[in-house]
Parts: sequence; C-alpha cells; structure tokens
Amino acid sequence: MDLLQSIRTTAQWCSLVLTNAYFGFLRTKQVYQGSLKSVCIPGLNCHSCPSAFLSCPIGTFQHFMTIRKFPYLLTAYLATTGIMVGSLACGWLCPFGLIQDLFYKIKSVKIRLPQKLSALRYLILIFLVILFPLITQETWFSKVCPMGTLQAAIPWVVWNPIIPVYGEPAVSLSTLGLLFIIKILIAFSFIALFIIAKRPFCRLACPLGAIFGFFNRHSILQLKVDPRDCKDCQKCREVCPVDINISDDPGASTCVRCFKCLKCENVKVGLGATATTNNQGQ
Amino acid sequence: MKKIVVIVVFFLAFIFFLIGDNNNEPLETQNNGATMCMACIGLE
Repeated sequence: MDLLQSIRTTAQWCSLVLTNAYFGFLRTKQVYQGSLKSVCIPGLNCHSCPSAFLSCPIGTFQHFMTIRKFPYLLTAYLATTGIMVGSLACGWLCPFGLIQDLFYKIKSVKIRLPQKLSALRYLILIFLVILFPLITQETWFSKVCPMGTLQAAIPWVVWNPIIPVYGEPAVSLSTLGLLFIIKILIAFSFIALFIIAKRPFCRLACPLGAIFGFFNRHSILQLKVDPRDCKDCQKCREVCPVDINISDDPGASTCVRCFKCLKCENVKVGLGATATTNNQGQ
Repeated sequence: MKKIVVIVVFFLAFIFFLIGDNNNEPLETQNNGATMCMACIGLE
C-alpha cells in the first residue's frame, strides 16, 4: 500500500522534473522550440516556462479556439486518456497537483471546501477556455492561470534576458500593467489557499480536471466500494487529497485516482467493473 | 451501457486522431508551444 504511494510520489516528481528539464534556455534565452512541443502533458504545466519541454493542453485548446479550429487531435488525446483511466493523470502526473500537495503539508489551520463548488470548473472550462477565446480570439484562461504566473510570468519578468537572436529583452517592461498585477494576486491567493485547503485549484478552477473528471464515472479504471460494508469511519476522506468520501460516490468527478483510499479494505480498484455507489445516477 | 460508452469514445477518438493528423495539428501545437505566450506572462 505504502509502496503504491511511493510510486505515485515518484511519478509526480518525475513528471514535474522531466517536463521542465530543458536547460537550453540559459543559452538561447527563449522557450524550447523543438518537436516535443507538439506533445501535451496530461496535466497543467505552462509551455511558456523557460524550461518546459511539452505543451500545456489547456493553452493549446485555447489557441485552437482563438484560430477558430477544432482541436481534433488534442480532444482525442484527452478523451482517450479520460476513458481509460479517468483523472488518474491529475493524481499521478500533474505538476500543479504536486505543488498543491506540497503546500498542504505546511502546518496551519485547515478548512474544508464545499464539494458543490467543483461545478465552477465547468464554468471556467466553458467560458474561459472555449467561449471567450472563440469570440474574442484571446486566451482568457492563460491570463489568470496561476501555474502560468509561477512558471512563466515571474521567471521571465524577474530574469528578463536580452535574446541574442533579436538583441532585445524578452519582456518589454512597459507592457506590464493591471493584468500582471491581477495574475500575481490570483496566484498568491491560491498559494495561501493551498496551505489551508486540499487541492483547491483542482477542485474549484481546473478546466483540465473538469475534462478528465467528466470521464471518471465511465472510465475503464474504476474504484469499487460496497456501501453496505461502509462503516462511515471517514478514514478515506481523511487521507484523500481532494477531501471526498469515496464511499458516497466512487465515480466522483473531483477524484484524482491517487488510490490513497485503498487504506480502507472496503475500497478496491478494478478494470471495467461498474462502481457501486450510494447515489448512482446523481 | 458502460461498454457502449467506452467503445463510442474510442471510435470517435480514432476518427479525431485521423482528422487531427490530416489537419497538421501537431505542427500547429508545436508552433504555439514554441511561442512565448503573452497572456501567460501577463503582458498587455
């Protein structure tokens, strides 16, 4: 059991490190521009980060909306991942998920967020990732994305090197304004929230989690719980990184498939088996 | 029901893969990812 969690933690760290292992930026003063950028990581990782190797799926989705083309390949990639393992990538591969897990380890007052707020993710997906970029041809989610702030905005603005090819600074400081201040405020508000609540960004705002979570109920990989054997001891909720009681709903859209709840002998993981739930169909 | 959903999603994904590849979407994704995103950095 602990071995599984060790493997998961290793996978999270490998994902964070390997997707951000491009150090050629120290020479070129630019983002990586090779063929690996045609691949999206199944997690939130800003492709404008100086060291990023792979593209961000949400950034790419928005880009296709702004040029008014449907992203067939990306949709197929996300749907295939979702139907096979649900939101397993959120719990095992997402760099931003790991960052939130680490911040939550800081000792402080802890709060519980209402589960119903997870519907906000779908509003963000529909409006900021699909509709607004489609109408205005601007990437609205990227304007407020806290991962973009941490990985791209702060590093580029603080470093701001002269790009050898152009002989100009990477960022024109005269273009920094209200948007940058809003981005910083949003990012640091979320960081404060990371310390006191379990994975708040995943549960309240992540459009990628909304996409993967949509498949949780129908994915081949399923968690199985027999509600008749549940003693309502809340052990599963205590260890859960997204604060859900898995026996209430094994197909919950906010579940990140971390398998920490397997600590309870009543929770099992299966392939292709229909999950048993107290409130099926809700 | 569940099996039907899985089969339909895989079938649509396969069709979408073919269409996306035909539309040269990997190159579009690469070109986008290789550009410094002004919105991500917070520039106006």
